[in-house]
Amino acid sequence: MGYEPQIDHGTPAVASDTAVSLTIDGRSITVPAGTSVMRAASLAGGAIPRLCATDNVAAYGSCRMCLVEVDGVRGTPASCTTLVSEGMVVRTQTPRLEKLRRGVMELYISDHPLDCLTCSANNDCELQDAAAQVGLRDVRYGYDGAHHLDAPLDESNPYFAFDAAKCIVCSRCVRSCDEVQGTLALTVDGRGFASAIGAGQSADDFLSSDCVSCGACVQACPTAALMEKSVIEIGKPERTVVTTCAYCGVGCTFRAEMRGEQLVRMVPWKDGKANHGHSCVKGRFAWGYANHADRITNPMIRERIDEPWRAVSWDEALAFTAARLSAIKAQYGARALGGITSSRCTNEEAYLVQKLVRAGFGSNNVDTCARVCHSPTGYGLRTTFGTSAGTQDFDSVMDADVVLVIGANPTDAHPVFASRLKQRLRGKNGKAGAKLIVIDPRRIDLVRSPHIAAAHHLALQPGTNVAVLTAMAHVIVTEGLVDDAFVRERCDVDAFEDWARFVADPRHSPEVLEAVTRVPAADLRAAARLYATGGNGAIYYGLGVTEHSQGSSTVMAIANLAMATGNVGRRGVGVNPLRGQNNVQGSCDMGSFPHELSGYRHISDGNTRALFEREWGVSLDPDPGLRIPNMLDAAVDGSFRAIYIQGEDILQSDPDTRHVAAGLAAMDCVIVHDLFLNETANYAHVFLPGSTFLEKDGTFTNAERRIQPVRKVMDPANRDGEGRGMADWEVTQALANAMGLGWSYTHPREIMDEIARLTPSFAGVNYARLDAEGSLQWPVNAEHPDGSPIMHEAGFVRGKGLFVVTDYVPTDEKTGPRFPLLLTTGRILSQYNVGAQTRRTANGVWHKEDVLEMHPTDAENRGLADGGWVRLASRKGETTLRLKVTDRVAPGVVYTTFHHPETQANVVTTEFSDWATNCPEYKVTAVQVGASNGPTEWQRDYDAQARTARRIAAEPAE
Amino acid sequence: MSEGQPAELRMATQIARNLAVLGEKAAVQRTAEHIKAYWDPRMIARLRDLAPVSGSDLIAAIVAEIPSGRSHET
Repeated sequence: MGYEPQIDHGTPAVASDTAVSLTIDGRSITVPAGTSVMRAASLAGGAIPRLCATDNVAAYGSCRMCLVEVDGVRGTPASCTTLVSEGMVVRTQTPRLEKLRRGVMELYISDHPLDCLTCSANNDCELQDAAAQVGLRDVRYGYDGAHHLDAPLDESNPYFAFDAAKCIVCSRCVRSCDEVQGTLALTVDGRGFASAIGAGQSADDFLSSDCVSCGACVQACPTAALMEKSVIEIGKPERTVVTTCAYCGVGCTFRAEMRGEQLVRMVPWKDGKANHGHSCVKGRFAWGYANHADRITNPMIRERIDEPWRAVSWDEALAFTAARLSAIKAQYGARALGGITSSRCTNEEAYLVQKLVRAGFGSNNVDTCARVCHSPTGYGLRTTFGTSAGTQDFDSVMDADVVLVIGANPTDAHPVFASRLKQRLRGKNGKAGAKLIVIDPRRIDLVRSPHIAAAHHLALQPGTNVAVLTAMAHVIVTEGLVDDAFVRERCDVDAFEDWARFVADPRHSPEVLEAVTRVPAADLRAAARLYATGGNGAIYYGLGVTEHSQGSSTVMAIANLAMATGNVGRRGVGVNPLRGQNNVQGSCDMGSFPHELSGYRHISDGNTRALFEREWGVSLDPDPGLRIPNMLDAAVDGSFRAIYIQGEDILQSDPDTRHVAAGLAAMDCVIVHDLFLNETANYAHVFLPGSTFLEKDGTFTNAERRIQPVRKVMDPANRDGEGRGMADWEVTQALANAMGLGWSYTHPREIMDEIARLTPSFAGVNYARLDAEGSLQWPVNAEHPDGSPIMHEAGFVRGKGLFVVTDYVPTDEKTGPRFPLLLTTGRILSQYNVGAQTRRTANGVWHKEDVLEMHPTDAENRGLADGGWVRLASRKGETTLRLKVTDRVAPGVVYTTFHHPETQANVVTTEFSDWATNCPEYKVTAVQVGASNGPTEWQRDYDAQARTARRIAAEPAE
Repeated sequence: MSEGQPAELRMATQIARNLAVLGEKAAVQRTAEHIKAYWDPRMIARLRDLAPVSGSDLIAAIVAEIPSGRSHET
């Protein structure tokens, strides 16, 4: 037993309905037509020596190690590029092959160091394996001639090193960068013996090149040439555990490769259905936060927030918290208490927090970070289609012909999906690439990058999504491009006719709306025609759709377009929200919204409530509770006084920072349950130390509704003086029990069993099935026993698809003489959300501060220079940051990220929100930008308050 | 919808504006249903208190359509 790398069959799997039988070394095997001889041999249990082949990239046929003999075929073909044929007889080991391979191997080794014992790849090296396989005993050429053994070492990347001396120029790294990641940062420089791997231009190293540090090259490298620095430092792993990444909503699965309780490296799991063996810089490399010195591992309490923290035992912290909560409840009533579930925690943990609030606190004041990201998706897709989730699995994109990306930046925010998307956009094996339409105020990388060019980029004015989509609908309806058969059969026809009349009105034509959207009418018409007539049309969208005052309207407008063109209910089409955090979908599914129980059932529904009341032994409040912004308003008003926040930093992530701070400061009991003393903790009375995804069992649900296991690989670090560590679900349970609720879960699987009992769409979900099948896509129940990769196949979940008239209502956030520019916000690849995790890793090398992007014309008008400090002000507040002058943004629009608390971009964002869900309007703020000398008064005050609030008493309490 | 307006008035007005395309009567009705389905009772109570002083016929009409008391069973 012990460590084994995941099996590599040498060339990628092929799907075919035709089976081919052949004989390899006397053993019979049947494989799909199109399979290579190398792969067939591997599937038959053999291992043909190879160096340039790996099953993540197409066969290349350069190393000449995998030669075989085939009856009736002349010579010795390479088994990686030779496809199987019926009745083929293959021999993989003959005296001739033996001699040829040994000769090739001798040449390789004549220019390779013989330092195997001290090499970081020792015993995990394919070159070493190949030498062993061919029985290499001697290198006749000696080491005196020309060689590359003194080639320089490139350690510029923080996570991996490139040692050219150990490189055999198999080009697996170059091909991975091209075929798997799609960045094309690597190349083979030179020819023949002078060939060498190069990153970027000749003056570049890995860090300065276009490399995005996804690590696909490191994974592909057969030797120690490209190696994780963690392996160089620690050594070879001893065991592996498959688990799910805790970053974005793509939900990549990884093999956590361990030595003892030490994580050595994360390697994407090739059987993972969301990522198929690929990853990004965050998931593969940015896990160092788990052991960062800032991590707080002891419970802490304080009477007042101006006091220093006091480290205490779990028992004391929980008793203190329960007493405070009970006293507040006794004095002000249950509705004065609430909680926020975490989209970074597991389904089971989110479920327990909402259960604690509803059954323990006695109110429905529970919400989740989806409030500020995808709550309009829930509302919009439920209204139109009948279910609050995306319609497709990620693999579906491989059958799309036209991809419409609106308000999303996949290469930065959902990089592994973006790589799949790029593969489809580039075409493969003679199949033409899909066409791309991008609707975004900013020229995101997908608009133009190596081998990718959008057919249309509609650079709209921020805040005009509904106008753009209505204009597209106008074109589709008035030019007769509606899929009438689909609409008649699948949709509510009366509602369609109302909608069609509305959008067909001349005032919704692209020509009229151009004045508002600033999208040239001809471009918009061409894009609409392409989406409607280009074959399978798939829409992918992100927070650029939802985080607007008309977020829900935009989601419904998207759904309308998809229904009108018949692009729902099969592979290659659909409406796909790209979820921000790893478990946003799951936390919503688990009943984290104040108006609904798990599975999106309204709290006013008596039958549903009765089900939960029986299971939980309590009676539930039938009225909806407060949403996060409402909680803060009610706190300022004095009717909301206590909050339990698990794994969420609302002070940094939520809009209008001053208002959030005022709300938190007004409360009597703020409980922060987190890994770090985050910004919100500056206003907390109780700090409960959290556990990382490496320290717990549970499940996450990704953007394609895929429920995947999270597995514990080390004990929780949050030990108090008595040495007890608790996963987050155990902490919530301990708090519930301190309040007298008497919970007795011994493992998250029992929590999932309860969820399955109470939630029809999860009825068939349990840990045994998840372990056996790897993942399940809900709904999983009697009607869908194997889960649901694609939804609405036979009909919409709500019955008939509902067209909803979405009238364009301009936001109240207006530019004017004082604030003439529009600010929009977003993310960058190397950082994640508020940066609590990624800022505590080496990822800072790519993005150490938030910068403000501004068009050269606007910068020139203001006399501002690239790289200088500027003051960013709105009617709500102001902050300072550095300027980046770029034509990625249009004149009149500025852009920044929100990863760093020093910038606190949300000090300028406003109280405006989506009309239906209160999702904040992060994406549109009227601002002015001017020169600055340094931090604003707000930033200085904030910093002083944070320093005071983070003090920890030197003498720990007993 | 100026800044400084109580949140409940701002939010109710915004919902009605987004539903105005349905016609006034339906918009008022749907706004009331939306508020009942998604608002905490104290927010509804506050909207009721604000209605007479807001001077807005729209808000008065919406408030009149929101059923009072505990949640209706659906």
